[in-house]
Amino acid sequence: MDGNQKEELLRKIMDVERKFSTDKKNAKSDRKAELKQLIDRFALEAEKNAASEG
Amino acid sequence: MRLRKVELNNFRQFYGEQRVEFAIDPKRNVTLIHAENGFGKTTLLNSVLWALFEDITKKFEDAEQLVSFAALKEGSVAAAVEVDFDFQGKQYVVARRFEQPSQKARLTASLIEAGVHKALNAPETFISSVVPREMARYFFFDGEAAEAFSSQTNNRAVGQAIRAILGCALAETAISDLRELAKEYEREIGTTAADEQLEAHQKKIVAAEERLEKLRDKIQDLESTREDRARQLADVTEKLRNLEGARKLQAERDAKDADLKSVRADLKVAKADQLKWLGARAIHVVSARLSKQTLDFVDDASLRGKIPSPYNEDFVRTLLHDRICICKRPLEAGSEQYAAVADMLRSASSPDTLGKVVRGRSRVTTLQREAADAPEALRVIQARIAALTTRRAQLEQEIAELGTKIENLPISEIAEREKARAALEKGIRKLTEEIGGAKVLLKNVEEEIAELQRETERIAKTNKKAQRVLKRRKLADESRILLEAMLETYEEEARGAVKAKVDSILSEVAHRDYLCDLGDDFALRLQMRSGHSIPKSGGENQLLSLVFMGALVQFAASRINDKNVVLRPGTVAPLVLDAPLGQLDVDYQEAVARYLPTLGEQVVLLLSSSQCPPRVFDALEPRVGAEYVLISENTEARGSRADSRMMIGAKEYVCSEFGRPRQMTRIERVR
Repeated sequence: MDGNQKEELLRKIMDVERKFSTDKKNAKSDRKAELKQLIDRFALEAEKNAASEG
Repeated sequence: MRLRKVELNNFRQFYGEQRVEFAIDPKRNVTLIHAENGFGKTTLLNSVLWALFEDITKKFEDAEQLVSFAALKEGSVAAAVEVDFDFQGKQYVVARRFEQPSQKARLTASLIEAGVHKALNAPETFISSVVPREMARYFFFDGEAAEAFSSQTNNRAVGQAIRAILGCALAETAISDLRELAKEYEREIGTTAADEQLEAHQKKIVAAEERLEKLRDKIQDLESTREDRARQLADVTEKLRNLEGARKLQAERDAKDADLKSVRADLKVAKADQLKWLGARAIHVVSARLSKQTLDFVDDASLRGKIPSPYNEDFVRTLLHDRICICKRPLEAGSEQYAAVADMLRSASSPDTLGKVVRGRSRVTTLQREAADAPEALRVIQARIAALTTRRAQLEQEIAELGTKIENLPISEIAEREKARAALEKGIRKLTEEIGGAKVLLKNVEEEIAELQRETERIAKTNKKAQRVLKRRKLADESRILLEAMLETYEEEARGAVKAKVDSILSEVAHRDYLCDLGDDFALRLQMRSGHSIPKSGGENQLLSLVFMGALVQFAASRINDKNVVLRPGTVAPLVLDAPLGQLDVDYQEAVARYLPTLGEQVVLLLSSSQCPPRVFDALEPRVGAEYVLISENTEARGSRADSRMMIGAKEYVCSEFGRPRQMTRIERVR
């Protein structure tokens, strides 16, 4: 993953945190599940890019 | 955010419906509330915090008892607080209502437009956008934070405050989430890969991480205990300062403590210089013999015409190219003569080699010179360390002797306090050692985990499934590390900004040429401009805390339009101060009182009569836009009790009334 993608991931992570912080429940497990999905998605994208380049 | 009104309904001692309307004129932005101790100042401050966040400060005792006793007696079971305020040009009202025996309070928030209340769907979210909860405690200030800021080990409280106002809370949660997520991936690696070796490794990592977590918790607990002890120590020391018999000795000890602090700091610098010397100059001493040999060799070779070579590289190449020797005989390729001339290339000089020889000689000469100076430089540093070590031992001895003298004073109260002080100091030293030990262990476990992770990566190289999970774990780790690095940079900038603001406020209010020392570790101290630290008295502690609070509020305001991705923007909120002038002498009270109205767009001051003598009142008066007094109504007869009276301006108020129908506090408007 290049620097831009890493920055983009960070931005999305903060979006998730921001969204949950305004949620009355703000359940930690839900928040972590959403972060995990996000990381999976970025990792998958990076894998696809690497495969198409290599 | 600008407060318009707070309305209390059977909330604690405020029976019935009572209200405070705040000053909203920017020129007269101070709301002054007079009340003697125990009459409801802290409750009033907490009522706003409770309404907005269902939060209260530590000084709010019996927190579960929200409904007025008098109201309960009459059958009312509900308490409520309503806060009216302006935010970004609009008017809002937030109300929280609690009804016994329910455990939960109900919150509503409305926008008021043309007198019509429009309910907001998500009140918590809205309030959080007005004043984030983590910042609120630094605007609603009941002296609790002041104690934390002024203790000897205040760095954690100061660091927390700067981080809160900087808006790090979300990023800190993200860091914690990412750390846990990485751990989850860690656990998945072994099981997903179906590899026994990997699984065993993961188990080791998980176990080590659990140890790491326990160590972190332990360090946090120890640091928190040390802070408590330091606060107690400051308290006992302050009491000793005020005890007639011990005052002189304690003042002497304060001065020596300050000297000791300076000496310790100088010693730290000197030891760092010694390390620097080892890193940069020890090589000169070690290489002295080699430098001499090298220089002798170069000089000898130069003398014999070997360096630089008498043959120039370009000249030799021209001969070989033209195939004619200097003696005009032909140079046939492959001939003995050709080989002899070609061999001259190996030692022929070029501008490059000439340059290298000159540079090399110069470097070796410098090395020799440095080698001659280096021992002297080290001797100077070592002499400084020796002198400072002696001075430190001397001061420690003198401080211990003063302690014994104080303990032996023929006044039991002093002796007891001194004993308590010595015990606290001993306890703090022990805690510091324990913290140091735990930090070493923590570092070891971190290294152990890093090694295990490197090993995992090596094993996982041949396992595609493990690789997949590993990549995700790395991504979580990298994001966390990036966030931590960003926060560290922002905190560093914030530390500088807050320090500059503290210094600027100090230059306005302090009688002496004080500066603030806000160290890398966020330890906050007062020092003279010359750099000497000064013994802190109770008043100076309070002054520093107040000034720091003011700097935080100004820093929050300066960040209101911050669009940073990871930080929350700052905020403008009223500064509500309960008993802010407590331990200051009257000169300081007056100077601070003059400055307080400039600290925020709206300032609410809750003052007892001892904190508002005529000079303080006169200093504040031009900025006061609203003024109240809290009157205590008591059911019992006055008996032999003295009247509690308070002069406000030219009028005298009787603050305690007896033989009243209810036990309550009444809010009375003065102007």
